Amino acid sequence: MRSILVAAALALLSAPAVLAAPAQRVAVRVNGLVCDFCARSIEALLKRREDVERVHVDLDRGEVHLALRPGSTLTDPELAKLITDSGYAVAAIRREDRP
Amino acid sequence: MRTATAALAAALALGAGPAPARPVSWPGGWTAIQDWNPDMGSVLLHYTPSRHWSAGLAARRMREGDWTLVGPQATWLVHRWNLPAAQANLYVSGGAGAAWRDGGQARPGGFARVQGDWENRRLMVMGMAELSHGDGIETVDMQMLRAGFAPFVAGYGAVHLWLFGQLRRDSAARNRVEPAFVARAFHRTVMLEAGVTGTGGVILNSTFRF
Repeated sequence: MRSILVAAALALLSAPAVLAAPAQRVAVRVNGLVCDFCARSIEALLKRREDVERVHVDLDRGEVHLALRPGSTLTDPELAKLITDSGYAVAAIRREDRP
Repeated sequence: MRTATAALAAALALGAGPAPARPVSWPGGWTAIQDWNPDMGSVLLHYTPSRHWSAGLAARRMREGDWTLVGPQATWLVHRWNLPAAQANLYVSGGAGAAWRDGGQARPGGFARVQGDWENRRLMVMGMAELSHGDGIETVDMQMLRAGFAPFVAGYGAVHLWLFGQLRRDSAARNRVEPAFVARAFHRTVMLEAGVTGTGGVILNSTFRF
């Protein structure tokens, strides 16, 4: 009984931390990003993930900007694989946490 | 076969999809492509399992030779060069199936194509060579070269416009080299092309991705 109570207390304490986890914004510099029609592949693949809230492709800067939902588990290698699978080459990934 | 030919010709005339458009989509994506020019019309529906290749069903009407080819088609993205401000691609496509001349018996047939392109946000060049064969019917070789520019650089999600000059040689058209002007517009996953050849022929192409 005591262990159950401890587990419940830990769960209650950790819940606000999860809820308060900051949304993440990620900028990916992508080589080959010159065509809107072709870059739809990036949007199509990234939006399959539930933790990706928004995708914006900046053709002028050759970058893809993502807004990840709080608690997103998308890692840099996973993100790089998604961009590569959509037909492009990742040059750099930059993350910025925002509450 | 006459009914099938007539139905296919009607379908080709109604649609429009460029062979020059990107023949491999994103993994899990479908693409419908239709092509119409004075020498040939074609329709293709393909599925892309991975970024390296696509497979689908194609039907092509050789308008100069009055014969038809229907069957499965596959396209392999041999290599893609992703550069900081440009992209280039090399594709190989092939298909095999049934070919028939109007009113004739179905015979084995097929085609093979190699296609390459380079583009940045302002300029694009593209080349293609293709060989089509219908057993006991005809063998046709075609080459095409395109170069064009975007009159304005549009952002993501806007309507994009490209203007091309094109040269096309087709052995079925007595080897004449036909110049053409083609305008391309695309928005999101829909691409449309319209053009006119030096002898007044109409070019209508379109591509839909979903």
